[in-house]
Amino acid sequence: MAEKEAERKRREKTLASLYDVYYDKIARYIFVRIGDQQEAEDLASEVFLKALGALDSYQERGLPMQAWLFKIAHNLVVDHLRKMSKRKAVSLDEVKAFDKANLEEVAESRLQVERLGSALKRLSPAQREVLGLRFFGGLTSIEAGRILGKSPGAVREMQRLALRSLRKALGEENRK
Amino acid sequence: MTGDFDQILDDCIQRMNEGQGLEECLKLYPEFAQELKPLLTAVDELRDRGGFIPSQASKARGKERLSRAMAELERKRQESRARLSRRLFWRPKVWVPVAAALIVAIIGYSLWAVLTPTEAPVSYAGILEIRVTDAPTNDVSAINVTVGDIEVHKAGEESDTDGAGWLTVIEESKTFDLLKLRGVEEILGSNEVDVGHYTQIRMDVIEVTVTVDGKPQSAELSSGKLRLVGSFEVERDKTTVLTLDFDADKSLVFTGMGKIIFKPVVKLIVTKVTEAPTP
Repeated sequence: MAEKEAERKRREKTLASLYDVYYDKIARYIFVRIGDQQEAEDLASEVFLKALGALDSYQERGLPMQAWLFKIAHNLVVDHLRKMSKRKAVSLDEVKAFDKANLEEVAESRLQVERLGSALKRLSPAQREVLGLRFFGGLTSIEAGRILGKSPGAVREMQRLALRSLRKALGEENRK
Repeated sequence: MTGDFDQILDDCIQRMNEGQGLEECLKLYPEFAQELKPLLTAVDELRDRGGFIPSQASKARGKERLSRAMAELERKRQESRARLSRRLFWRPKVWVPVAAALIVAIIGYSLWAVLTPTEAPVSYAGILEIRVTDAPTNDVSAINVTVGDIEVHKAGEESDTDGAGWLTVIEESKTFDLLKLRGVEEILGSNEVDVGHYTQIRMDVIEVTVTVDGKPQSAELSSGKLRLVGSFEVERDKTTVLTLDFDADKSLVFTGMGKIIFKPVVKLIVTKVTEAPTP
């Protein structure tokens, strides 16, 4: 019993230390999926609270805790999108811009983000997810595969197709 | 072939995730550079444009919520532990008033060698008789105690820890249920002993089984040997009865881990003295 409690405390400590490193990544991953910065930040916090509540069920079987956090984030995003689909369409155009002092830069950044948002909207949800996990989550294709329930080969194929679609979509957005 | 390209693209993406530049990746795979470049450029754009910086205020708020949740969990765990301890402590079946008595009767009698008309040697002996009595109530329905050798120690003998100075009264093991002995006494055995002054009694406690809610459970023994200090006399032709009164309330300890420990707390009562049987 004492051993179980010690293990639980060790996991809590690990979770707390992962917060500092992974909060930003998880927030960006969620942002790519839902396109709302404020919501992404709130949901990123929620990910860690959910993880705390489920720490006893976490088993370190080849999936590191950080990848497990993205799995929780994935589930939260699915729930969130389901709720949002009942209310209103999520608009990536509503994304706020970078926190930069120069107004011109802010405007340019905002424009770029808007273009990216429009381009991402042209991708399938699965393609957006794989890009989020690989580029913002920083996960390997093996870890992403475990979260998505796909083989690493399938993930690599998805990311190639996603990048081709994104490149095409960005080209079209830039020409507008 | 596509699989190979996917693997190379994946490798480049991994390198860029770890901080390498686009051009460095292209140099690693010159034969795929043309195909890789537009895709890796998209990666760059995605990262540049999509990598928004979460607000530090939101991050700090989130961390504060996590810390509070952790503290709350710890508080609940402590409360839960305290509740469990309280429940175990006050549970009636745990603190059953078990009362039992082990009566050690030492009947000593002296045998007079009268077979010869001349100066015959005189022998003195008594009988040791062991009884148990009394019982607790509540959810404990049985306390079976198995004891082995019972010995007494005569005053003035040198050693009181090894064999010397100790007289064995009962050699066979015997089991008795303390709870069935309420108001009665059970004789565990008796034997002759030399008359004289005795200061200690000790017995092997082999096993104790406690039945709680109908389920027998072995109790751990704090010591395999029960030893009592108290003086009593064995007189010629007379019986000395010793009563060992167990305070079961204090003899059974229920731990929080579900274990029961038999830690006998015994009072020695010396009762007098009947005529020893004439041989």
